[in-house]
Amino acid sequence: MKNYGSGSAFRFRTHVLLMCLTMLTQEGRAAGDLDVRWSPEFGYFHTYGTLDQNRQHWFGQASLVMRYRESQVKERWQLQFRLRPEFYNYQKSTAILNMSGQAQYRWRWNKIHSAAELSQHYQFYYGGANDQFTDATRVQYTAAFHFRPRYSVDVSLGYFQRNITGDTDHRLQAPNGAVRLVFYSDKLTVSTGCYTEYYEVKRPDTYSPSRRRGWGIGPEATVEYNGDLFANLTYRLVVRDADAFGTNDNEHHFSGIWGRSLGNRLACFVYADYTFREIDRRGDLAFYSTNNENRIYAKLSLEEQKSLEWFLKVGYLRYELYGLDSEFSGVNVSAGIEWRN
Amino acid sequence: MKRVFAHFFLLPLCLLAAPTELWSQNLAEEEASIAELRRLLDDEVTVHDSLKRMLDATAREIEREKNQSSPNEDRLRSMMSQALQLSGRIKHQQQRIRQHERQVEAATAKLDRMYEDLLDSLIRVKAVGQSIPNDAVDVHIWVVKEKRLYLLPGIKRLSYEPQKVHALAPASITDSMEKAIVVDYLRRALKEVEDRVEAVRTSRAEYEELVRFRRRLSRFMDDVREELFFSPLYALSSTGGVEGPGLTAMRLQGRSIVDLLYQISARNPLLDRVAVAPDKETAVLTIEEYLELLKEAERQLTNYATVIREKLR
Repeated sequence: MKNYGSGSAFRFRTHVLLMCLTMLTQEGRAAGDLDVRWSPEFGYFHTYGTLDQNRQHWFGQASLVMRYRESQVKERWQLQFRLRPEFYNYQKSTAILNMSGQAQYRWRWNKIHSAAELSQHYQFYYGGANDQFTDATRVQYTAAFHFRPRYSVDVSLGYFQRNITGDTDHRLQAPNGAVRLVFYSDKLTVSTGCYTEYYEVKRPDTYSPSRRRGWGIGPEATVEYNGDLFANLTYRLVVRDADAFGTNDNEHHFSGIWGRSLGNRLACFVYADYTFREIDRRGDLAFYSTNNENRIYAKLSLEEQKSLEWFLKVGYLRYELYGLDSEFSGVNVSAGIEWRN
Repeated sequence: MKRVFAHFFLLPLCLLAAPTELWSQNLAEEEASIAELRRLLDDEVTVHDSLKRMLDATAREIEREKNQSSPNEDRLRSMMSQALQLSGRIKHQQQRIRQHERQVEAATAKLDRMYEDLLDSLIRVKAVGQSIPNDAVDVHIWVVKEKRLYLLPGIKRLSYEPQKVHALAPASITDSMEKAIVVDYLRRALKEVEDRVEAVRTSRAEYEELVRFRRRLSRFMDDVREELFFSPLYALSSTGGVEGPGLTAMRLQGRSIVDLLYQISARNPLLDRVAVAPDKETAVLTIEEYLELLKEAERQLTNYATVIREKLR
């Protein structure tokens, strides 16, 4: 296994996480809410991709989420910690450990609603010779100016950094920003705007170290209905500049979430995500995409008690592996249970 | 590419144009129209209630006739035919009421949007205007806010004075006429309180289901977002984690419930929090807080109904 994220950045982020967890156990706890969720699930998946064709495997995973929230009239803050180990009998046994911490603060000042967020994620992938470690940091600030009833202008500023350490090293930094005009009614929200980012990708482990930087820009639109059912549809176009790729690289991204309560105890949710790229970038070592996954999955959940829920998930996943000029896809079915405090 | 961008930015412009069109319409005309629609609805409800009373009386007559030792078959047949006719008329009347309710609902939503635009303009006038005294604009703003508050279908204030009800003691009245009047007043008051309890209970049941669903949806979306974390897509969330202004109807109903609870002199920290918030017209209540408010209203109103029942005993 490689040296996982050595350096002061790793220590600093760990320190921030520890500070957040210390705050969780200290003053103010009596006034806030602590939510704990624990949900193990087991299932099968069937693979189709070029990497591993027509094989069936079992898998199991368990998710632990702890969230502490405190609200006042005009402000709210929240700390969240997640742990999710996953086990697959894929070729040989594979284990993945996901950990994350998040601190969020929201406040209102006159007509401006703001949110600031700091989050840190780690993923340890143990697969024999193919061990890999990924860490990602995100800082984001969003302000929504409600300039008249039912309308707001949202401005987001953020910084995203992702490091992959393993057989192939990959470093990504992407400061980003977005401006949106949002229209609200009681049940409908319509938003249109523009997203931009400046990205830098580095592949220090290749024989000829490659590095690419450039701008990404594009419009986006979202329609959301939140009434007796919930539906959200989003479309984004990200155009990466010609200087970085030799030609404009257009990426279309569609996503949708649908949810509906089916009586008192039963609820159904569907999530779908599809990215269409005009130029095939597989095999490009320094390629960077906003999304490598196309997937759709549905979840049916039955609330047994207020703190206990059974669920069934069915999904399809297609994952493009750019460094390997390959893809991995399959369908999966799993069942699980969720306990809440 | 230019065409794609043009389409994206045309959409919000169209949305901006919609309220401007509403603004130009005649507010007074709309208010008169809604008053007329409500009057017609009240008339229809009155007709329905009197038909219902006639049907109840006929049913009692039929029962009485049946219980006699030798019931008059012809009379029974005639009364049953009359009951059948009344039942048909009631059904027809219910359809008419539903139709009128839909009309009132549509007109109310339209008028609410007009009030919203008017308020927005007045606030802008207040911010910019030098020639108009600020006090005059403030008065106008409060008048429109009050109109808007009582426009939406919600939990209305009680039509009688709760303080008077507290002062009444029918048991200590000796004059039979005076006692009958007081008892009648208390019975009407009790009926009104029971109606409010029922309205609050129905609203609570609806919102409880909504809250439960939203919590499950929020957990589902949280899990989806978590799986996206290693992609910059996570940062592209259109609402950026900042909440919108919330449900207007819920917010205004929340205010009307607070008014109602203050009317019966109920006290709760949540009421103070809503009442003293400096920006009452913006999103103050979350859906969970609104649910808490409904529970409190149900509890207080039920207690109040018990007090009236005690007086009537």
